Amino acid sequence: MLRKYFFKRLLVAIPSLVLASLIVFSLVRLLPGDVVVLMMEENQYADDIEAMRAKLGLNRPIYVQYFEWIGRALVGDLGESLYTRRPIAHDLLTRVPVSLELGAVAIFFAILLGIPIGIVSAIRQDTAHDYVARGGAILGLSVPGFWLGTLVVVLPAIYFKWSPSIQFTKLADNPWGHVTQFILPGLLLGIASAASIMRLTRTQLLEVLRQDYVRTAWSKGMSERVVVLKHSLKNALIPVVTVLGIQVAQVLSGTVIFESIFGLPGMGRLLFDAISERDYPVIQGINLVVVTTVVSVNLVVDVVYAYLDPRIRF
Amino acid sequence: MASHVVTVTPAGWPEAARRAGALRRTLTTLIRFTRRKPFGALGAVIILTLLLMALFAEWIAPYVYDQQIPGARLRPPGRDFLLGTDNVSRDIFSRIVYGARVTVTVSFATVFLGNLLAAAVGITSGYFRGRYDIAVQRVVDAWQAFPALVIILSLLAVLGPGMLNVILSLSILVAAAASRVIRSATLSVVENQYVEAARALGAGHPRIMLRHILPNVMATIVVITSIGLGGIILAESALSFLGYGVPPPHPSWGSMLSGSGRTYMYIAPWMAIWPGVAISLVVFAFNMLGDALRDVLDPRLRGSHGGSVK
Amino acid sequence: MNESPNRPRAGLSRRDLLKAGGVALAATAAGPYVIGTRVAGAATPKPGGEFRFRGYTPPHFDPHLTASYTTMINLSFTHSRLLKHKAGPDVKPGTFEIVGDLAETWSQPDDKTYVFKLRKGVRWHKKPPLDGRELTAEDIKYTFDRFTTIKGNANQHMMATLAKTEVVDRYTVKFTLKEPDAFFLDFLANPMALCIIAREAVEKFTDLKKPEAVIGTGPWMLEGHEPKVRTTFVRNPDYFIKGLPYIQRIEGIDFNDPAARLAAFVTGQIDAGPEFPGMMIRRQDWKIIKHNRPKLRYVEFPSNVMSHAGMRTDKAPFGDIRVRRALSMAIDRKAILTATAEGVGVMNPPIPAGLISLAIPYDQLGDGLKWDAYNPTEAKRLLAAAGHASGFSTTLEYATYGSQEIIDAVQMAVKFWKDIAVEVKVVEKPYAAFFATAYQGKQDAMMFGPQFPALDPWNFMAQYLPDEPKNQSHVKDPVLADMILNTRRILDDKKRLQQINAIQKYIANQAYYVRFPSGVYIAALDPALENFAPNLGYDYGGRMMAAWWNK
Repeated sequence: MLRKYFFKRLLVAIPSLVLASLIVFSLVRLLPGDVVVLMMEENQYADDIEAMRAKLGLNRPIYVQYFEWIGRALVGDLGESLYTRRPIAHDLLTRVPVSLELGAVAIFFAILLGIPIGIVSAIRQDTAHDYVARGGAILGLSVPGFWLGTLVVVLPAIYFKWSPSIQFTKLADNPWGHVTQFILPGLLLGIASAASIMRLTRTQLLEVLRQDYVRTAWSKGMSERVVVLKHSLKNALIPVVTVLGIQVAQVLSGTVIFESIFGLPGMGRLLFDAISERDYPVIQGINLVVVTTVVSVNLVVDVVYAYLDPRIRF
Repeated sequence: MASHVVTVTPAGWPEAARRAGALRRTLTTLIRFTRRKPFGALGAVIILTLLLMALFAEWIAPYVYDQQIPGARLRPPGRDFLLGTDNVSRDIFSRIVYGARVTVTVSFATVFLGNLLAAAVGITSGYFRGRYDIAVQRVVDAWQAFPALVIILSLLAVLGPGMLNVILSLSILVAAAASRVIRSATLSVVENQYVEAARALGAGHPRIMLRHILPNVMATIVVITSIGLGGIILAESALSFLGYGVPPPHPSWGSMLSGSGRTYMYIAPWMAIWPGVAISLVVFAFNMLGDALRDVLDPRLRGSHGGSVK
Repeated sequence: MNESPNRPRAGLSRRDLLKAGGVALAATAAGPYVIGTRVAGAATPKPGGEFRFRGYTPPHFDPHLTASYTTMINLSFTHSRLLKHKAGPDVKPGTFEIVGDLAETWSQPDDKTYVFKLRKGVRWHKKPPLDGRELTAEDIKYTFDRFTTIKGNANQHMMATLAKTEVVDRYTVKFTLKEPDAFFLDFLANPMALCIIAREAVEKFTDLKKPEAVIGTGPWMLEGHEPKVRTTFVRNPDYFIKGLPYIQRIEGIDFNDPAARLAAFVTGQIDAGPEFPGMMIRRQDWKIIKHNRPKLRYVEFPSNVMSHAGMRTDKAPFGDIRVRRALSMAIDRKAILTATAEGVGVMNPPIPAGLISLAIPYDQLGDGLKWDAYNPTEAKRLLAAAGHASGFSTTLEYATYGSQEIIDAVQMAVKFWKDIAVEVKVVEKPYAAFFATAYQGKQDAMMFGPQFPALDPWNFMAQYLPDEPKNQSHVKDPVLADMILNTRRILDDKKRLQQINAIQKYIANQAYYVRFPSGVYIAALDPALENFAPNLGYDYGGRMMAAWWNK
């Protein structure tokens, strides 16, 4: 049953991906003409406007351009950066893992913080526990990430002559250092997502706790732990799973800032540089990779959602 | 604040009496709300202050935001300058007050545009389901699969810096995140019996969506709107950090913090602290108010509190 | 600060600074400034060790296909030039004495001919495809031919007067110019374009963009390059000056964020100040740095980065000299220095005061001085005389360069102009767009931005020539153009300097640009780094070559 659902989901994920690739593809095509001129003049990416258009592949029929691009992308060829003249796929191969590691650590912290706080805050609604837990989580969310990052980097440096890792360490050079360098940026990046997860957990749990079957459980005199864990939590967490899917894209957004502060050579920084340099093939390549990642995660989320809540299968 | 959303006005009352009654009920509601949701009420007060500052900046601020006060460089907060002065000898309190205007403009305009789009997409998609839903969801999936900052930065790189461009690109961020949440709320509402009952009674689709579904997902919309507002303010400050924020001369809190605030944080910490506090306070307020409103507004939670708001 | 006072000092004294800038500016809470650099002690240099600095990730490594300082800084470690600037503790920052690099001697048989005798036994790095081949005159010719003919070389104008390069024999090369060019040697020595490259590398890699193609004859060899992380260099054991360099390994770490850079410096992760253009710190961070690394050595010298506001003098109202003078007099330059540079800075004549042997001493600027002095009343009177009694509105295009100083200076200037009823609407552009438009004079009315921090006077004068792209004020002044073109033909140093001074006076009096003051840099260094002195310009490698670690 679930397997059948999975394939059904896969069948709809593919059009999503095709659609997304079309968006990625048209991004460059939507550029106003004068931007192409600018790209040529500012960055000297080509000698004349025709050469520039040819370089961006703008001089052939649009469907030919798309199929050529997507065909090459499928075999791992994303073209060449205009700015560095390096193959984009090659650069992404070193950059993507960094962002994924950072993102994974962030999601880990988001769940670790978000769900327990959400539970406490729901079962103790409108008590001091609720206020402290929720207030704390939301306060964490309310501080701009770059400011938290700045303080985390600078304050210990000034007061303790210690700084968190701000020089990237490769896995091969120092596995321990490699893993630990993600903890602080991951935690900071996770805080924003933790607040969303906390809030949704709380909301959903509150709702479930007031439903008839749970009231019945209460009235039967079951212990609070049983009620919460056995009867309510599973149902409450179902929509939380969908939020996790959304968080993946958001976390990848956040990498732009934290990679910059913590000196991590990930995709976010590559993207930001590419945007500053108007290096559109690179922007295209990164977008395609990101989009594929997120669509895949959403597929998994959907399947997990269906597993948790059989009503959703249709 | 909450009253006009949920108050039901009996028809046929004389105008004056109706208004007096409405006022009394509003007050009662507010008092009850404050008692039950002190954090939410606090949030409301902070937001009210923000709105007042934005509206009456000229009257509240002792100086104009770009006024250089001779001999008053990097003054710490004190009697002469409530929140101190910056490196250009400008009064920080005045800049925060004028900055409220930027914050309000950017965040409300963005969240309005974004949620309008999100609600239209989310509700129809969750309601009609089937092929329409699948088609729409593919588009939303595709759209949402882009990290928000990517689209925003790309747009700003092409459009150039400017407040309107910041608003337009941020509203895309809001819409993308909100439409799915609204859809899943709609999905669970559609499951409810009263929707099926309405359908059985022959109500048309627009009517069901507007009368039965919209009110029931309103709580969700309110919650994500409030989170959205906070989120927009944070996003604007993140854009400032990346150099794509609201450009000067508008004194945006984000650029005050990320630009001169960070540059002078060691010799004049107040230059960073106050805009930072302003951002955090307002984001916190929107979140707390949103949460409180959600608890109060959600139709499924209302009964459990003795219908106090009704 | 706590260095031995008996050692010779070679930094600028406070008095020098004032002479250079002309205007006394109060030192601020940051404390007294200018501390001498230290010459190597009695101890003999110790080879080895590693020097870590804030490095830059270049777009690529081909010096003929980019003008980016990020490429030039990296190549300064790996490549040689024909000539270079003297470096070391006895060199006064802001001065650039020309000495030989690959050239052992050179002569000028006539006004238009230069002959260079190359050092013998100079070998390319032991990397394929060069594998330690000896450098010959052919390599020099190849470099100059490629430099002058390749498409997309933004620095080509530097060799505008070069007619041909000829190989006389294996170690002799001859340059023939189209016309006399007194600045020719300056261009050869400058660390911003003309490093010598090898034909085989170009042919093997089609261009020099890849890290593998970084093969030079310089003191260090490129060891590794991780974009946006670090670039490392290792000592070239076959460097043509025996025994040099002393330092075994150089690591340039790319810190993107200023807060991260400061943290890295404060915690000793890098050995020199992290701010552009080399080993500097921001004055507002000085206190916190002193507190955390009390033993650092500091050297102060004025910056050669000068910002100015250009205006379309070919259009009303900027064609009117009274309007230009009014706009200049409306600016309180001291207030700008106070706000953006903690009050420590210099007023700039048309050639930045930081180039201390080229800029005219500020107080000798003559009539032009009047238009630099803050005088809003007089400015208003001039405006009224020009028919703008009630002011006018205009626009100013700029890019932030990610710099708070620029943002603040622009906002202050706009306010000062508002005070004389000139409403300036600021148009912020992304850097690349600004560079393609306003930086090349393609703005509607006014523009604001820092100028290219050249080390020679020509760059600063050439922008007043009618067809120069950097003529942002659209100056068309035949008298001035004549004076400028003439300087190139004056081969006598003293006379040429007089002419350059006369030009600066003339420009200042015409108020073609609203010139802004510059801050005084603070270079901060680990005190154990011996025989090293900072200077302006991108020649990190040249200055580091004879330095060594005393620890």
